[in-house]
Amino acid sequence: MDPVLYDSFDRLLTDISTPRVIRDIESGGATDTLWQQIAESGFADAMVAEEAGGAGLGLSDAFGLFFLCGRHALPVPLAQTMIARRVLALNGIDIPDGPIAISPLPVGHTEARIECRNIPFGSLAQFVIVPHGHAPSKGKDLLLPASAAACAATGVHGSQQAHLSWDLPDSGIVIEGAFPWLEVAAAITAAQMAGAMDTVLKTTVRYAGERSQFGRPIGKFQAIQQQLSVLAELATASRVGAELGCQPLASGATNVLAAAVAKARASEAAGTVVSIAHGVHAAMGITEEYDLQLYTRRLIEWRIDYGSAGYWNRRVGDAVLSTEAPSTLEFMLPAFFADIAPR
Amino acid sequence: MIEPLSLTSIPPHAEALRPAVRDFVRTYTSRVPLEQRAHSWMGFDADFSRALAKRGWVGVTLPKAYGGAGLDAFSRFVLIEELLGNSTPVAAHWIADRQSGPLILKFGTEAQKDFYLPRICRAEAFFCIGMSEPQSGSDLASVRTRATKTGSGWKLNGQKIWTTNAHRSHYMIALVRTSGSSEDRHKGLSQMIVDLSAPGVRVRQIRDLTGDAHFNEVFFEDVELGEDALVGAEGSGWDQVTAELAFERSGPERFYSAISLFDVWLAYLREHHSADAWARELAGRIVTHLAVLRAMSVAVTEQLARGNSPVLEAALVKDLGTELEQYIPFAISEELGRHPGHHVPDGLLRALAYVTQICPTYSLRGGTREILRGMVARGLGLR
Repeated sequence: MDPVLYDSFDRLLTDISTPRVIRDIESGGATDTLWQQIAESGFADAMVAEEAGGAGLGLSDAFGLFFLCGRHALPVPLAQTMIARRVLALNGIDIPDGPIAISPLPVGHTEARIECRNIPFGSLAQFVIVPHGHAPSKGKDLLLPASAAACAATGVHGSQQAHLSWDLPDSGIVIEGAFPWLEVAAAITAAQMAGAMDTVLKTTVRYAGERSQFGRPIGKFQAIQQQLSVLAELATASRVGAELGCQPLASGATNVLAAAVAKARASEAAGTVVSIAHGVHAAMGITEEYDLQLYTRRLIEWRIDYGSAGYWNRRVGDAVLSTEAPSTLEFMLPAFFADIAPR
Repeated sequence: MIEPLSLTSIPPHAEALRPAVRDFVRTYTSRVPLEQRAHSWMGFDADFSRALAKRGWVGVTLPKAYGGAGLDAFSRFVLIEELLGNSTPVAAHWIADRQSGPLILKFGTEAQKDFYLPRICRAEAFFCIGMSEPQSGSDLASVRTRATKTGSGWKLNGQKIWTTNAHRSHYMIALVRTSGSSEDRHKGLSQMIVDLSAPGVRVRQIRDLTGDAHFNEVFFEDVELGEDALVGAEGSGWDQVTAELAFERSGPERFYSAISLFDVWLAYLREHHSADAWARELAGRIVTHLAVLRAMSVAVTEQLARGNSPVLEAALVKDLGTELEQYIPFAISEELGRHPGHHVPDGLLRALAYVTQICPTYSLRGGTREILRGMVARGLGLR
């Protein structure tokens, strides 16, 4: 992606998404100031078409921005809002102000009621995209105001997820154009996971260099070095996989199978990444005061948001087993690689 | 610090090579059972290598003046991806193509290039690499095999071990000590080309647990070498060996080694409609990992094509890639064993047994897991 854009977004988040701000918002503080700063920066419209007043970035161009949202544990759904604003603008819908969350598939969907559980950032979103479940919305996705929902906290410490349900949800705006919300949400979550892993890696390497036992920094012990190498490998694989998941098909449509790869790889890696980071930090990493937990709690949550590794691997496996291609190689190349643009 | 690997694609000029290679490979794969192909790049077939050479596909990165095709790292990636992705027997020319040819091109004299490179490209000169010794494995700098100066060249004494395909190769490029002792470590090491038919060279095969004999002990007793046996500068052996490693560690051979077993298992599942949810998830997991590894490998290839030496990034790809290669046979046997009543064909079972037995070598050859992770740790600034 454009390095100037990437660096300026990195600097912005360094300034506004500080550990203090993250802790404040996680404990129920208002998001208004943070969101105002984001709105003024213009990044919420990074993916809105240029003719509609945005920067017109595609999913692939915006990968670095999603990555940075994760690296800075940004406590508002900016990545999701960027996607939502792009799709709403494409559908000629007036874009509302404020953070927009993307719900996983609703657990209940009738004429009278829509029930969504564990919506990432559901506790603070002002609007929610609800991908269609079954008949009542006639296969259409909805944009629903959070203010019209019954909102229940999950009760998980520090989590920004919430359960939301809407009675008589006809107040929602129908999004006519079909869009693979679940797959795109999975891909951008994978990118944020890779970003969070990057911070976890840097934090853990730094700690291993500072903490001394037996008369030398613990990072000098081979046992610790091997663990950190695995962490670095997994963070790298997750990042490359997430970037792969953000590559559209030549038609411009989302490559849903690549998105599946991205989320499966990052979700599988996250468990080991978290475990190594906490293992190296020992008790210090578990404290509220130390920043590691801001990232590892998110990784733990994100690895099952929008489907775990098992769900997405199964999707890829179904495609592999139903392919006519005579070999795995001939399946993989067109499925994942044919449409990647040269650098 | 390790540079982030950025996704990139294979440029069109390199992709243009793929259809012809694929056609060529199909004529081979149509007559060789998959079971046999499970040997992947350890499969040795001199006729296959010479047929490839006739097409101009051995030594493709070497300049045309030396019989090569003058193609770049991306083109070689496409070529070997098709060869390995379809499990063809490339072992005969593999080392010469991947390492010895490029090494001679980079460090060799004009006479060495004129002599060896055209022979490599015609698949007439097969090479092996003499690195390990009985007392030097991961601690490669401790090698003791010694070349001493004579009036007309060098006299070689010592022993190499675990030398893959030495018994079927024409030449070895050996890392030997030309000055100092093993306490001098990286100093005083040089690379020598040894004609394996020379008097004083004795090759003894070592049988492996699968019943094959692919690696060897090689003994040198007063072997007379000419002055032109030395490759590159005397005493620069260590640096030259290190430069080779990025080529050795990041390619498709680090994640496609078990692909024919995976393909034959998928074919079995499809044919018998016997893929339950667990098997589907497993098949997906393997493809998910392969796709990411391939993307990483292409990213490393891009750095090679630009003339960089991404040694750390290559180590990282190899460690992850061999982990998957070793996971595949164990996961497949677990899956097959979940259905005791099913009739599994012998060919699949033999391929499975072979890969399961041999796969520990995947993370030994080209640097052990622990050595690679040590390199990554160095890249992280920990060492």
